[in-house]
Amino acid sequence: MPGIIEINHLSHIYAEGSPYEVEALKDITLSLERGEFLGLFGPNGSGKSTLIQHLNGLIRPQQGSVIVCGKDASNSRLSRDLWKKAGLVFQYPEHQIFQISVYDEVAYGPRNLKLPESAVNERVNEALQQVGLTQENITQLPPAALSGGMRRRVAVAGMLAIQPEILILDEPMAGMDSVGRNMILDIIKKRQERHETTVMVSHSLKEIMTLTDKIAILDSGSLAFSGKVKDLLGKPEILAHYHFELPEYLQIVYEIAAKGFDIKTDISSIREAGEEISKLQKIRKDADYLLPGQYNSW
Amino acid sequence: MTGMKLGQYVYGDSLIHRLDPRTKIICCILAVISVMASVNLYYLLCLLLLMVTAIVSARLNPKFIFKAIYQIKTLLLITLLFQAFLTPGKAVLTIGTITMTREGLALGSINILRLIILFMGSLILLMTTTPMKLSIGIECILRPLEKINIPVHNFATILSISFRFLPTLFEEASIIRNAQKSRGSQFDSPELMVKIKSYAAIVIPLFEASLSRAGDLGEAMDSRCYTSHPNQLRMNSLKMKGQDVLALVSVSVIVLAVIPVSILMK
Repeated sequence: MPGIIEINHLSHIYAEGSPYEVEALKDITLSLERGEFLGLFGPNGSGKSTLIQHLNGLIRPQQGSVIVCGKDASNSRLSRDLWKKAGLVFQYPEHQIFQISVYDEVAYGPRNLKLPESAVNERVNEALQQVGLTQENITQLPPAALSGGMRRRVAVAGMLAIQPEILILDEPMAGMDSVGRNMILDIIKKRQERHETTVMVSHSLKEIMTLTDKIAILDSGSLAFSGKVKDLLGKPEILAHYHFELPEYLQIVYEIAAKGFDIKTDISSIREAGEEISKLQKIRKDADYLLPGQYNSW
Repeated sequence: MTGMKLGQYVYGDSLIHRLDPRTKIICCILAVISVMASVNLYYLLCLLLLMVTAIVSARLNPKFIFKAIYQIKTLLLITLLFQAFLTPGKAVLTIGTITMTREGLALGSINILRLIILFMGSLILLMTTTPMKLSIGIECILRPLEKINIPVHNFATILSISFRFLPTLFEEASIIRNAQKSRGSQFDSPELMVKIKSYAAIVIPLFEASLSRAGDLGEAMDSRCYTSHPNQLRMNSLKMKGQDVLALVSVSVIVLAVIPVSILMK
Protein backbone atom coordinates (compact mmCIF):
# COMPACT_ATOMS: atom_id res chain seq x y z
CA MET A 1 0.00 0.00 0.00
CA PRO A 2 1.42 3.43 -0.89
CA GLY A 3 2.12 5.77 2.02
CA ILE A 4 0.17 8.90 2.84
CA ILE A 5 3.22 10.93 1.80
CA GLU A 6 5.42 9.74 -1.06
CA ILE A 7 8.36 11.95 -2.04
CA ASN A 8 10.50 10.76 -4.93
CA HIS A 9 13.78 12.34 -6.04
CA LEU A 10 12.55 15.82 -5.16
CA SER A 11 14.85 18.77 -5.95
CA HIS A 12 14.13 22.47 -5.67
CA ILE A 13 16.14 25.51 -6.72
CA TYR A 14 15.16 29.04 -5.71
CA ALA A 15 15.68 31.97 -8.10
CA GLU A 16 17.26 29.78 -10.74
CA GLY A 17 19.59 31.67 -13.06
CA SER A 18 19.91 34.77 -10.87
CA PRO A 19 22.86 35.69 -8.66
CA TYR A 20 20.70 34.65 -5.70
CA GLU A 21 20.27 31.06 -6.86
CA VAL A 22 20.00 28.58 -3.97
CA GLU A 23 19.67 24.82 -4.25
CA ALA A 24 17.25 24.23 -1.39
CA LEU A 25 16.51 20.52 -1.88
CA LYS A 26 18.64 17.88 -3.56
CA ASP A 27 17.20 14.53 -4.58
CA ILE A 28 14.99 13.84 -1.56
CA THR A 29 13.24 10.48 -1.37
CA LEU A 30 11.03 9.92 1.64
CA SER A 31 7.77 8.22 2.50
CA LEU A 32 5.40 8.17 5.44
CA GLU A 33 2.68 5.68 6.31
CA ARG A 34 -0.75 6.72 7.52
CA GLY A 35 -0.72 7.19 11.30
CA GLU A 36 3.02 7.64 11.55
CA PHE A 37 4.72 10.56 13.25
CA LEU A 38 7.72 11.96 11.41
CA GLY A 39 10.22 14.23 13.11
CA LEU A 40 12.04 16.43 10.62
CA PHE A 41 15.30 17.78 11.92
CA GLY A 42 17.88 20.03 10.34
CA PRO A 43 19.99 23.11 11.03
CA ASN A 44 18.81 26.54 9.89
CA GLY A 45 18.66 26.84 6.12
CA SER A 46 18.71 23.09 5.56
CA GLY A 47 15.52 23.10 3.48
CA LYS A 48 12.99 21.92 6.08
CA SER A 49 10.52 24.70 5.36
CA THR A 50 10.87 24.23 1.61
CA LEU A 51 10.20 20.51 2.00
CA ILE A 52 7.05 20.90 4.09
CA GLN A 53 5.68 23.59 1.78
CA HIS A 54 5.74 20.96 -0.95
CA LEU A 55 3.41 18.83 1.16
CA ASN A 56 0.46 21.22 1.17
CA GLY A 57 0.77 22.55 -2.35
CA LEU A 58 2.40 25.93 -1.61
CA ILE A 59 5.40 24.92 -3.72
CA ARG A 60 5.00 22.70 -6.73
CA PRO A 61 7.78 20.20 -7.42
CA GLN A 62 10.32 21.34 -10.03
CA GLN A 63 12.02 17.96 -10.27
CA GLY A 64 10.82 14.65 -8.90
CA SER A 65 7.37 13.99 -7.51
CA VAL A 66 5.37 14.55 -4.34
CA ILE A 67 2.23 12.55 -3.72
CA VAL A 68 0.15 13.46 -0.67
CA CYS A 69 -2.98 11.47 0.24
CA GLY A 70 -2.86 9.94 -3.23
CA LYS A 71 -2.86 13.35 -4.92
CA ASP A 72 -0.04 14.48 -7.17
CA ALA A 73 1.24 17.85 -5.91
CA SER A 74 2.64 18.80 -9.30
CA ASN A 75 -0.88 18.96 -10.71
CA SER A 76 -1.91 22.61 -10.23
CA ARG A 77 -5.61 21.76 -9.93
CA LEU A 78 -5.00 19.12 -7.23
CA SER A 79 -2.33 21.05 -5.37
CA ARG A 80 -4.65 24.03 -4.93
CA ASP A 81 -6.87 21.89 -2.71
CA LEU A 82 -4.06 20.18 -0.85
CA TRP A 83 -4.40 22.54 2.12
CA LYS A 84 -7.54 20.64 3.09
CA LYS A 85 -5.57 17.40 3.37
CA ALA A 86 -2.27 18.60 4.80
CA GLY A 87 -2.57 21.35 7.40
CA LEU A 88 0.62 23.35 7.77
CA VAL A 89 1.07 25.39 10.95
CA PHE A 90 3.81 27.92 10.20
CA GLN A 91 6.52 29.08 12.57
CA TYR A 92 5.19 31.68 15.02
CA PRO A 93 1.62 31.23 13.75
CA GLU A 94 0.41 33.87 16.23
CA HIS A 95 1.87 36.50 13.88
CA GLN A 96 -0.65 35.53 11.23
CA ILE A 97 -3.79 36.19 13.26
CA PHE A 98 -6.00 38.82 11.68
CA GLN A 99 -9.64 38.32 12.65
CA ILE A 100 -11.52 40.43 15.14
CA SER A 101 -12.37 37.65 17.60
CA VAL A 102 -10.94 34.30 18.65
CA TYR A 103 -14.03 32.58 17.25
CA ASP A 104 -13.70 34.16 13.80
CA GLU A 105 -9.99 33.40 13.73
CA VAL A 106 -10.48 29.70 14.40
CA ALA A 107 -13.49 29.60 12.08
CA TYR A 108 -11.54 31.09 9.15
CA GLY A 109 -10.33 27.70 7.87
CA PRO A 110 -13.62 25.80 8.21
CA ARG A 111 -15.48 28.71 6.56
CA ASN A 112 -13.06 28.50 3.64
CA LEU A 113 -14.03 24.84 3.44
CA LYS A 114 -17.56 26.18 2.77
CA LEU A 115 -19.02 24.25 5.71
CA PRO A 116 -22.45 25.19 7.08
CA GLU A 117 -22.27 27.51 10.10
CA SER A 118 -23.47 24.81 12.52
CA ALA A 119 -20.60 22.50 11.51
CA VAL A 120 -18.18 25.42 11.75
CA ASN A 121 -19.39 26.12 15.28
CA GLU A 122 -18.90 22.48 16.25
CA ARG A 123 -15.39 22.37 14.84
CA VAL A 124 -14.35 25.65 16.47
CA ASN A 125 -15.47 24.46 19.90
CA GLU A 126 -13.75 21.12 19.44
CA ALA A 127 -10.50 22.73 18.29
CA LEU A 128 -10.48 25.23 21.16
CA GLN A 129 -11.04 22.35 23.57
CA GLN A 130 -8.09 20.48 22.06
CA VAL A 131 -5.73 23.37 22.69
CA GLY A 132 -7.07 23.90 26.18
CA LEU A 133 -8.86 27.20 25.61
CA THR A 134 -11.99 26.31 27.51
CA GLN A 135 -12.56 29.51 29.48
CA GLU A 136 -15.99 31.00 29.13
CA ASN A 137 -16.42 33.90 26.67
CA ILE A 138 -12.93 33.42 25.26
CA THR A 139 -14.40 33.02 21.80
CA GLN A 140 -15.60 36.63 21.78
CA LEU A 141 -12.31 38.16 22.96
CA PRO A 142 -10.11 39.94 20.43
CA PRO A 143 -6.92 37.88 19.91
CA ALA A 144 -4.83 40.99 20.65
CA ALA A 145 -6.05 40.83 24.25
CA LEU A 146 -4.42 37.42 24.78
CA SER A 147 -0.85 36.63 25.74
CA GLY A 148 1.66 35.33 23.20
CA GLY A 149 1.24 31.71 24.32
CA MET A 150 -2.54 31.93 24.18
CA ARG A 151 -2.39 33.45 20.71
CA ARG A 152 -0.22 30.52 19.58
CA ARG A 153 -2.93 28.17 20.85
CA VAL A 154 -5.60 30.09 18.96
CA ALA A 155 -3.51 29.83 15.79
CA VAL A 156 -2.96 26.08 16.24
CA ALA A 157 -6.69 25.65 16.91
CA GLY A 158 -7.33 27.48 13.63
CA MET A 159 -5.51 24.70 11.82
CA LEU A 160 -7.00 21.85 13.89
CA ALA A 161 -10.48 23.12 13.01
CA ILE A 162 -9.81 22.31 9.37
CA GLN A 163 -9.31 18.69 10.52
CA PRO A 164 -6.58 17.85 8.02
CA GLU A 165 -5.50 14.26 7.48
CA ILE A 166 -1.88 15.28 8.00
CA LEU A 167 -0.87 17.91 10.53
CA ILE A 168 2.47 19.59 9.85
CA LEU A 169 3.94 21.67 12.65
CA ASP A 170 6.89 23.95 11.89
CA GLU A 171 8.84 24.57 15.11
CA PRO A 172 5.69 24.56 17.25
CA MET A 173 7.61 24.82 20.52
CA ALA A 174 9.77 27.83 19.60
CA GLY A 175 9.53 30.42 22.35
CA MET A 176 6.82 28.57 24.28
CA ASP A 177 6.64 28.19 28.06
CA SER A 178 6.26 24.74 29.62
CA VAL A 179 2.46 24.94 29.72
CA GLY A 180 2.39 25.72 26.02
CA ARG A 181 4.84 22.92 25.27
CA ASN A 182 2.68 20.45 27.14
CA MET A 183 -0.32 21.58 25.13
CA ILE A 184 1.54 20.86 21.87
CA LEU A 185 2.76 17.50 23.24
CA ASP A 186 -0.80 16.69 24.21
CA ILE A 187 -2.10 17.38 20.72
CA ILE A 188 0.65 15.22 19.22
CA LYS A 189 -0.03 12.36 21.64
CA LYS A 190 -3.75 12.43 20.99
CA ARG A 191 -3.12 12.33 17.26
CA GLN A 192 -0.83 9.34 17.73
CA GLU A 193 -3.53 7.57 19.77
CA ARG A 194 -6.11 8.25 17.08
CA HIS A 195 -3.66 6.93 14.49
CA GLU A 196 -3.45 10.26 12.67
CA THR A 197 -0.43 11.38 10.67
CA THR A 198 1.74 14.17 12.03
CA VAL A 199 4.95 15.80 10.82
CA MET A 200 6.91 17.98 13.19
CA VAL A 201 9.84 20.18 12.22
CA SER A 202 12.37 21.13 14.83
CA HIS A 203 15.98 22.15 15.10
CA SER A 204 16.31 20.33 18.40
CA LEU A 205 17.21 16.70 17.82
CA LYS A 206 16.59 15.87 21.46
CA GLU A 207 13.06 17.25 21.36
CA ILE A 208 12.24 15.15 18.30
CA MET A 209 13.87 11.96 19.59
CA THR A 210 11.84 11.95 22.77
CA LEU A 211 8.61 12.27 20.77
CA THR A 212 8.85 10.12 17.71
CA ASP A 213 10.18 6.88 16.39
CA LYS A 214 10.74 8.07 12.83
CA ILE A 215 13.28 10.74 12.03
CA ALA A 216 14.51 12.43 8.87
CA ILE A 217 17.56 14.68 8.99
CA LEU A 218 18.06 17.34 6.33
CA ASP A 219 21.42 18.99 5.86
CA SER A 220 22.03 21.69 3.24
CA GLY A 221 19.20 20.32 1.16
CA SER A 222 20.17 16.65 1.24
CA LEU A 223 18.69 13.86 3.28
CA ALA A 224 21.44 12.97 5.76
CA PHE A 225 19.44 10.30 7.56
CA SER A 226 16.00 8.76 7.41
CA GLY A 227 14.79 5.95 9.62
CA LYS A 228 14.11 4.83 13.16
CA VAL A 229 15.48 6.50 16.27
CA LYS A 230 17.15 3.22 17.23
CA ASP A 231 19.12 3.19 13.98
CA LEU A 232 20.14 6.80 14.47
CA LEU A 233 21.51 6.04 17.93
CA GLY A 234 23.79 3.47 16.32
CA LYS A 235 25.34 6.19 14.17
CA PRO A 236 27.55 8.19 16.53
CA GLU A 237 29.19 10.04 13.60
CA ILE A 238 25.86 11.65 12.66
CA LEU A 239 25.02 12.45 16.27
CA ALA A 240 28.43 13.97 16.87
CA HIS A 241 28.07 16.11 13.74
CA TYR A 242 25.04 17.83 15.26
CA HIS A 243 26.66 18.10 18.71
CA PHE A 244 23.93 15.89 19.97
CA GLU A 245 24.06 14.70 23.54
CA LEU A 246 22.30 11.43 24.21
CA PRO A 247 19.42 11.49 26.69
CA GLU A 248 20.60 10.80 30.23
CA TYR A 249 19.16 7.26 30.33
CA LEU A 250 21.04 6.32 27.18
CA GLN A 251 24.27 7.80 28.49
CA ILE A 252 23.88 5.56 31.56
CA VAL A 253 23.12 2.48 29.48
CA TYR A 254 26.10 3.08 27.19
CA GLU A 255 28.37 3.66 30.17
CA ILE A 256 27.24 0.40 31.75
CA ALA A 257 27.90 -1.40 28.48
CA ALA A 258 31.32 0.23 28.24
CA LYS A 259 32.19 -1.18 31.69
CA GLY A 260 31.76 -4.62 30.21
CA PHE A 261 28.26 -5.51 31.44
CA ASP A 262 25.98 -7.39 29.10
CA ILE A 263 23.18 -4.89 28.46
CA LYS A 264 21.04 -4.17 25.41
CA THR A 265 21.87 -0.70 24.03
CA ASP A 266 19.31 -0.27 21.24
CA ILE A 267 16.53 1.13 23.38
CA SER A 268 14.41 4.15 22.76
CA SER A 269 12.65 5.03 26.00
CA ILE A 270 13.46 5.69 29.60
CA ARG A 271 11.10 2.86 30.59
CA GLU A 272 12.97 0.36 28.47
CA ALA A 273 16.24 1.54 30.00
CA GLY A 274 14.80 0.98 33.45
CA GLU A 275 13.69 -2.53 32.55
CA GLU A 276 17.10 -3.40 31.15
CA ILE A 277 18.85 -2.08 34.22
CA SER A 278 16.56 -4.01 36.60
CA LYS A 279 17.21 -7.16 34.58
CA LEU A 280 20.89 -6.54 35.05
CA GLN A 281 20.34 -5.98 38.74
CA LYS A 282 18.61 -9.33 39.09
CA ILE A 283 21.47 -11.08 37.32
CA ARG A 284 24.18 -9.34 39.20
CA LYS A 285 23.45 -8.71 42.81
CA ASP A 286 26.80 -7.01 43.17
CA ALA A 287 25.85 -4.42 40.59
CA ASP A 288 24.58 -2.26 43.42
CA TYR A 289 27.75 -0.23 43.62
CA LEU A 290 27.31 0.83 40.03
CA LEU A 291 23.59 1.48 40.13
CA PRO A 292 22.64 3.23 43.35
CA GLY A 293 19.19 2.87 44.87
CA GLN A 294 17.45 5.39 42.62
CA TYR A 295 16.96 2.82 39.86
CA ASN A 296 15.15 0.38 42.14
CA SER A 297 11.95 2.27 41.63
CA TRP A 298 11.66 1.13 38.00
CA MET B 1 10.77 33.35 -0.29
CA THR B 2 14.27 33.56 -1.63
CA GLY B 3 14.56 35.24 -4.99
CA MET B 4 15.47 38.34 -6.95
CA LYS B 5 13.27 41.29 -6.12
CA LEU B 6 12.68 44.15 -8.49
CA GLY B 7 15.51 46.66 -8.16
CA GLN B 8 17.48 44.63 -5.64
CA TYR B 9 21.17 45.50 -5.35
CA VAL B 10 23.40 43.02 -7.18
CA TYR B 11 26.94 42.78 -5.95
CA GLY B 12 29.49 43.69 -8.58
CA ASP B 13 32.71 45.55 -9.23
CA SER B 14 32.29 47.51 -12.43
CA LEU B 15 32.83 51.15 -13.31
CA ILE B 16 29.12 51.81 -12.76
CA HIS B 17 29.23 50.13 -9.35
CA ARG B 18 32.23 52.22 -8.33
CA LEU B 19 30.73 55.58 -9.34
CA ASP B 20 29.82 57.90 -6.52
CA PRO B 21 26.13 57.50 -5.61
CA ARG B 22 25.67 61.26 -6.06
CA THR B 23 26.93 60.98 -9.61
CA LYS B 24 24.50 58.19 -10.36
CA ILE B 25 21.55 59.99 -8.78
CA ILE B 26 22.32 63.24 -10.65
CA CYS B 27 22.77 61.35 -13.93
CA CYS B 28 19.40 59.71 -13.37
CA ILE B 29 17.73 63.06 -12.73
CA LEU B 30 19.37 64.50 -15.86
CA ALA B 31 18.13 61.51 -17.86
CA VAL B 32 14.60 62.07 -16.55
CA ILE B 33 14.75 65.74 -17.60
CA SER B 34 16.02 64.95 -21.08
CA VAL B 35 13.51 62.15 -21.63
CA MET B 36 10.70 64.47 -20.59
CA ALA B 37 11.95 67.34 -22.74
CA SER B 38 12.19 65.53 -26.05
CA VAL B 39 9.80 63.64 -28.30
CA ASN B 40 12.41 63.04 -30.98
CA LEU B 41 12.71 59.35 -31.73
CA TYR B 42 16.39 59.38 -32.68
CA TYR B 43 17.33 61.30 -29.58
CA LEU B 44 15.39 58.81 -27.42
CA LEU B 45 17.12 55.93 -29.18
CA CYS B 46 20.45 57.55 -28.27
CA LEU B 47 19.37 57.63 -24.63
CA LEU B 48 18.27 53.99 -24.86
CA LEU B 49 21.72 53.16 -26.24
CA LEU B 50 23.24 54.99 -23.28
CA MET B 51 21.17 52.88 -20.85
CA VAL B 52 22.09 49.67 -22.64
CA THR B 53 25.77 50.64 -22.51
CA ALA B 54 25.43 51.26 -18.78
CA ILE B 55 23.75 47.86 -18.28
CA VAL B 56 26.42 46.07 -20.27
CA SER B 57 29.29 47.80 -18.50
CA ALA B 58 27.71 47.11 -15.09
CA ARG B 59 27.48 43.44 -16.14
CA LEU B 60 23.83 43.21 -15.09
CA ASN B 61 21.91 40.18 -16.26
CA PRO B 62 19.98 41.36 -19.37
CA LYS B 63 17.45 38.57 -18.83
CA PHE B 64 16.51 40.07 -15.50
CA ILE B 65 16.14 43.55 -17.02
CA PHE B 66 13.81 42.16 -19.71
CA LYS B 67 11.79 40.35 -17.07
CA ALA B 68 11.52 43.55 -15.05
CA ILE B 69 10.31 45.51 -18.07
CA TYR B 70 7.84 42.73 -18.81
CA GLN B 71 6.42 43.23 -15.31
CA ILE B 72 5.24 46.76 -16.20
CA LYS B 73 3.63 45.58 -19.44
CA THR B 74 0.13 46.63 -18.33
CA LEU B 75 1.26 50.20 -17.73
CA LEU B 76 2.97 50.29 -21.12
CA LEU B 77 -0.04 48.83 -22.90
CA ILE B 78 -2.45 51.29 -21.27
CA THR B 79 -0.15 54.17 -22.27
CA LEU B 80 -0.12 52.99 -25.86
CA LEU B 81 -3.88 52.47 -26.09
CA PHE B 82 -4.77 55.82 -24.53
CA GLN B 83 -2.45 57.69 -26.88
CA ALA B 84 -3.60 55.69 -29.90
CA PHE B 85 -7.29 56.31 -29.34
CA LEU B 86 -7.25 59.84 -27.93
CA THR B 87 -4.95 61.57 -30.42
CA PRO B 88 -6.73 63.10 -33.40
CA GLY B 89 -5.33 62.23 -36.83
CA LYS B 90 -5.57 59.76 -39.67
CA ALA B 91 -7.81 56.84 -38.70
CA VAL B 92 -6.37 53.35 -38.77
CA LEU B 93 -9.03 51.39 -36.93
CA THR B 94 -12.52 52.31 -35.75
CA ILE B 95 -14.30 50.51 -32.93
CA GLY B 96 -17.79 51.93 -32.34
CA THR B 97 -17.37 55.62 -31.72
CA ILE B 98 -13.65 55.67 -30.97
CA THR B 99 -10.91 55.61 -33.57
CA MET B 100 -7.29 54.58 -33.40
CA THR B 101 -5.08 57.05 -35.28
CA ARG B 102 -1.69 56.75 -36.93
CA GLU B 103 -0.42 59.81 -35.10
CA GLY B 104 -1.68 58.34 -31.84
CA LEU B 105 0.13 55.06 -32.41
CA ALA B 106 3.37 56.90 -33.15
CA LEU B 107 3.04 59.09 -30.07
CA GLY B 108 2.11 56.07 -27.95
CA SER B 109 5.18 54.16 -29.10
CA ILE B 110 7.42 57.11 -28.25
CA ASN B 111 5.87 57.36 -24.83
CA ILE B 112 6.47 53.65 -24.23
CA LEU B 113 10.09 54.19 -25.21
CA ARG B 114 10.31 57.07 -22.74
CA LEU B 115 8.87 54.98 -19.92
CA ILE B 116 11.24 52.11 -20.66
CA ILE B 117 14.25 54.45 -20.62
CA LEU B 118 13.17 55.92 -17.27
CA PHE B 119 12.52 52.46 -15.84
CA MET B 120 15.90 51.17 -17.02
CA GLY B 121 17.63 54.21 -15.53
CA SER B 122 16.12 53.66 -12.11
CA LEU B 123 16.84 49.92 -12.29
CA ILE B 124 20.52 50.61 -13.06
CA LEU B 125 20.71 53.06 -10.16
CA LEU B 126 19.11 50.64 -7.68
CA MET B 127 20.87 47.50 -8.86
CA THR B 128 24.37 49.00 -8.75
CA THR B 129 24.13 51.07 -5.56
CA THR B 130 23.86 49.64 -2.06
CA PRO B 131 20.89 51.03 -0.11
CA MET B 132 23.33 52.55 2.39
CA LYS B 133 25.23 54.45 -0.29
CA LEU B 134 22.01 55.51 -1.93
CA SER B 135 20.72 57.12 1.25
CA ILE B 136 24.09 58.80 1.98
CA GLY B 137 24.06 60.11 -1.59
CA ILE B 138 20.55 61.52 -1.23
CA GLU B 139 21.51 63.07 2.10
CA CYS B 140 24.54 64.77 0.52
CA ILE B 141 22.53 66.11 -2.40
CA LEU B 142 19.82 67.48 -0.11
CA ARG B 143 22.23 68.92 2.46
CA PRO B 144 21.85 72.54 1.20
CA LEU B 145 18.22 72.34 2.35
CA GLU B 146 19.42 72.31 5.96
CA LYS B 147 20.00 76.05 5.59
CA ILE B 148 16.24 76.55 5.39
CA ASN B 149 15.71 74.33 8.48
CA ILE B 150 14.65 71.13 6.74
CA PRO B 151 15.88 68.16 8.84
CA VAL B 152 17.72 66.44 6.01
CA HIS B 153 19.58 64.06 8.29
CA ASN B 154 16.38 62.74 9.85
CA PHE B 155 14.92 62.37 6.42
CA ALA B 156 17.95 60.37 5.30
CA THR B 157 17.74 58.12 8.38
CA ILE B 158 14.10 57.39 7.66
CA LEU B 159 15.03 56.63 4.07
CA SER B 160 17.87 54.26 4.94
CA ILE B 161 15.71 52.45 7.51
CA SER B 162 13.00 51.97 4.89
CA PHE B 163 15.57 50.62 2.43
CA ARG B 164 16.83 48.29 5.14
CA PHE B 165 13.39 46.94 6.01
CA LEU B 166 11.89 46.64 2.55
CA PRO B 167 13.28 43.13 1.91
CA THR B 168 12.23 42.05 5.41
CA LEU B 169 8.74 43.31 4.75
CA PHE B 170 8.56 41.49 1.41
CA GLU B 171 9.69 38.27 3.04
CA GLU B 172 7.21 38.64 5.87
CA ALA B 173 4.39 39.32 3.42
CA SER B 174 5.25 36.17 1.51
CA ILE B 175 5.30 34.06 4.69
CA ILE B 176 1.94 35.44 5.82
CA ARG B 177 0.52 34.91 2.34
CA ASN B 178 1.62 31.28 2.39
CA ALA B 179 0.26 30.79 5.90
CA GLN B 180 -3.15 32.16 4.92
CA LYS B 181 -3.12 30.09 1.73
CA SER B 182 -2.64 27.07 4.00
CA ARG B 183 -5.92 28.01 5.63
CA GLY B 184 -7.67 28.33 2.30
CA SER B 185 -7.44 32.06 1.49
CA GLN B 186 -8.41 32.56 -2.14
CA PHE B 187 -5.93 35.09 -3.49
CA ASP B 188 -6.54 33.87 -7.02
CA SER B 189 -10.32 33.89 -6.82
CA PRO B 190 -12.05 35.20 -9.94
CA GLU B 191 -14.49 37.15 -7.73
CA LEU B 192 -13.09 40.59 -6.96
CA MET B 193 -14.73 40.93 -3.53
CA VAL B 194 -13.42 37.54 -2.35
CA LYS B 195 -9.98 38.54 -3.57
CA ILE B 196 -10.02 41.88 -1.77
CA LYS B 197 -11.29 40.29 1.44
CA SER B 198 -8.60 37.63 1.35
CA TYR B 199 -5.91 40.30 1.06
CA ALA B 200 -7.03 41.69 4.41
CA ALA B 201 -5.58 38.47 5.83
CA ILE B 202 -2.13 39.65 4.68
CA VAL B 203 -2.41 43.38 5.24
CA ILE B 204 -3.60 43.27 8.86
CA PRO B 205 -0.85 40.99 10.27
CA LEU B 206 1.74 42.79 8.15
CA PHE B 207 0.66 46.17 9.51
CA GLU B 208 0.71 44.88 13.06
CA ALA B 209 4.19 43.42 12.62
CA SER B 210 5.53 46.61 11.04
CA LEU B 211 4.15 48.81 13.79
CA SER B 212 5.54 46.63 16.55
CA ARG B 213 8.88 46.44 14.75
CA ALA B 214 8.95 50.23 14.40
CA GLY B 215 8.30 50.54 18.14
CA ASP B 216 11.11 48.09 18.96
CA LEU B 217 13.50 49.82 16.60
CA GLY B 218 12.72 53.22 18.13
CA GLU B 219 13.45 51.88 21.59
CA ALA B 220 16.65 50.21 20.42
CA MET B 221 17.84 53.45 18.81
CA ASP B 222 16.91 55.40 21.93
CA SER B 223 18.79 52.99 24.19
CA ARG B 224 21.87 53.52 22.04
CA CYS B 225 21.53 57.30 22.37
CA TYR B 226 20.47 58.09 18.83
CA THR B 227 20.33 61.81 18.21
CA SER B 228 19.54 63.44 14.94
CA HIS B 229 22.96 64.85 14.21
CA PRO B 230 24.78 64.07 11.00
CA ASN B 231 27.18 61.19 11.40
CA GLN B 232 30.62 62.83 11.19
CA LEU B 233 32.47 59.58 11.83
CA ARG B 234 30.95 57.61 8.98
CA MET B 235 33.29 55.19 7.24
CA ASN B 236 33.76 55.57 3.50
CA SER B 237 32.75 59.21 3.26
CA LEU B 238 31.83 60.09 -0.27
CA LYS B 239 34.50 61.54 -2.52
CA MET B 240 34.09 62.46 -6.17
CA LYS B 241 36.81 61.01 -8.39
CA GLY B 242 37.91 61.56 -11.98
CA GLN B 243 35.49 58.94 -13.26
CA ASP B 244 32.59 60.77 -11.61
CA VAL B 245 33.51 64.07 -13.25
CA LEU B 246 33.81 62.28 -16.58
CA ALA B 247 30.42 60.59 -16.19
CA LEU B 248 28.72 63.82 -15.13
CA VAL B 249 30.21 65.82 -17.99
CA SER B 250 29.35 63.26 -20.64
CA VAL B 251 25.76 62.79 -19.42
CA SER B 252 25.33 66.58 -19.18
CA VAL B 253 26.51 66.95 -22.78
CA ILE B 254 24.01 64.35 -23.94
CA VAL B 255 21.24 66.03 -21.99
CA LEU B 256 22.11 69.51 -23.23
CA ALA B 257 22.07 68.11 -26.75
CA VAL B 258 18.30 68.03 -26.44
CA ILE B 259 18.17 71.80 -27.08
CA PRO B 260 19.94 71.89 -30.48
CA VAL B 261 18.19 68.68 -31.50
CA SER B 262 14.73 70.07 -30.86
CA ILE B 263 15.60 73.37 -32.55
CA LEU B 264 16.99 71.61 -35.62
CA MET B 265 13.97 69.30 -35.89
CA LYS B 266 11.63 72.27 -35.97
